[in-house]
Amino acid sequence: MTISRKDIKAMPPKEPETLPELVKIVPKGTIRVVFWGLRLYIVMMIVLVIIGFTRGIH
Amino acid sequence: MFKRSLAATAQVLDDAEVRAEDQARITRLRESSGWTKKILLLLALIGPGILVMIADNDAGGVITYAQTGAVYGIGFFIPAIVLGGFIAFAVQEMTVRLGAVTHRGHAEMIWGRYGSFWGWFSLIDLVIANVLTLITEFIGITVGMSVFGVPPVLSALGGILVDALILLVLRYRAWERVSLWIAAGNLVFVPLVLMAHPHWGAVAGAFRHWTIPGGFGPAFLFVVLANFGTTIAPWMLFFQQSSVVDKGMTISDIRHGQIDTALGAVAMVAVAVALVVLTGTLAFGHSGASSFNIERIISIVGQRLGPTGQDLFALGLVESGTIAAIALTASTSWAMGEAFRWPKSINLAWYVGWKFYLPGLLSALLAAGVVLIPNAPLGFLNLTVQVIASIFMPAALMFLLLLLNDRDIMGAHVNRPWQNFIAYSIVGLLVLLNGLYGFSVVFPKWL
Repeated sequence: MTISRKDIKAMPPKEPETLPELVKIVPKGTIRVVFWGLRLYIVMMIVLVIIGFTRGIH
Repeated sequence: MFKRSLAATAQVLDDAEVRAEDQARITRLRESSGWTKKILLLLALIGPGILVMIADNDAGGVITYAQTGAVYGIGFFIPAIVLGGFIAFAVQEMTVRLGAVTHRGHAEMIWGRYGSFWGWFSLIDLVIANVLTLITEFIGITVGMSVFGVPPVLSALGGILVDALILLVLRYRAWERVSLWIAAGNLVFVPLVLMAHPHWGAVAGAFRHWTIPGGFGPAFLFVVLANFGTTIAPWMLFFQQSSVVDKGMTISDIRHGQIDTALGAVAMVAVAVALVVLTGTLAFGHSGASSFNIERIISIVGQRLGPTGQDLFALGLVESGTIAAIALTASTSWAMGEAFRWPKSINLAWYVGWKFYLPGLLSALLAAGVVLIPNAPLGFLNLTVQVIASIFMPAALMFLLLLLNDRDIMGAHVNRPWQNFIAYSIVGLLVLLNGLYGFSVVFPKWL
């Protein structure tokens, strides 16, 4: 199948330069709770895995 | 300086043109009628989904499944693997939509939408997990090649060379096609299981009587986590989304992306089940099976199926390590490129995109180096990787869910209520499993 320049130009541009700017959100409500939950979960799991590995649970 | 920057800009535009050509080809196929064109369209659009799922059956996965079959036989884990296939599809399908709608990779979305704290967290988490996982890939490559008498230094070097060459020399479309051909080698475990003449009645029985072999305890939980860790991993989210973006898929391609992901999930489950059935048939019940390493399992396959069986298993192990190394290397490069806003595409020539290619290739080089260290605890490292990946997975999934429910960026393609129900159930299951594991660590006598 041959592709002409016309075909290429007909395609919508998809490069990051043409994408709308991503706006950073300010966490509020549920999202704020989710983020704090994530922090807590990660710290707890890291501690538990360290305890597990030092006790040789594998 | 100006000339160099001009040359780089020209190359990035060239990359855009390459992608535009691919998209124009897809548009033509979509507008054509007839079954041949429809099949050609599907063939052109498949790739990221099959690649991510097959690469998930990596050397670490092959080792975990083989050890699981040897220790627990044909039982609990076969239905669990099938369930894992559905879970993997549900999760990966979301990355297709997110990539096709936003045209941005996962790292870029987290960085841009949730800020640098979570951006750094995800990036560091991903890169560490990728390096650790790459170590298991090179374990697989060196162990597999040792069956053919190839020294580890040469096989590790060979693995790096294949990975680097196809990444640096080929453009996205060719890179994807070559990777798909390598991925097809993963299916070698299917004829291998047929050679073992398993008890198919026992395989079917596993679905009727879903019992926990040996009782519920910390060791069993560890294996469950390892199996879930190998079914879904954070790198898969980053890889498929970036791959969808680099391929240039759009909203109109979402349906084909979903089919691609479903096909990949079926292949992944078929291979994983084949591995558990294979070692469940050949190695389960042997004295000391619980401490079998992969070399011992290969040796048992050789004793029971002959040299052809042993060679095929070894080849499968090498292939699984190679395809996963290719995917992990690309995933690291894409994530770094997205986080630091470098030009990021496999369409870039190596001398223009060297900054983009370098992190991925360095991570592979580091992993290959670790594998060559004498007496490194590689078997333990393999299970550790899976456990670490499954612990970080709920965090990665939460970001995915937040993004998929963000109407400002997803528009009409936000998750539907039933999709959220499934996705939150998966997060809940992972948190529960990880919590149980943690509980078993602190109170080992209670389980």
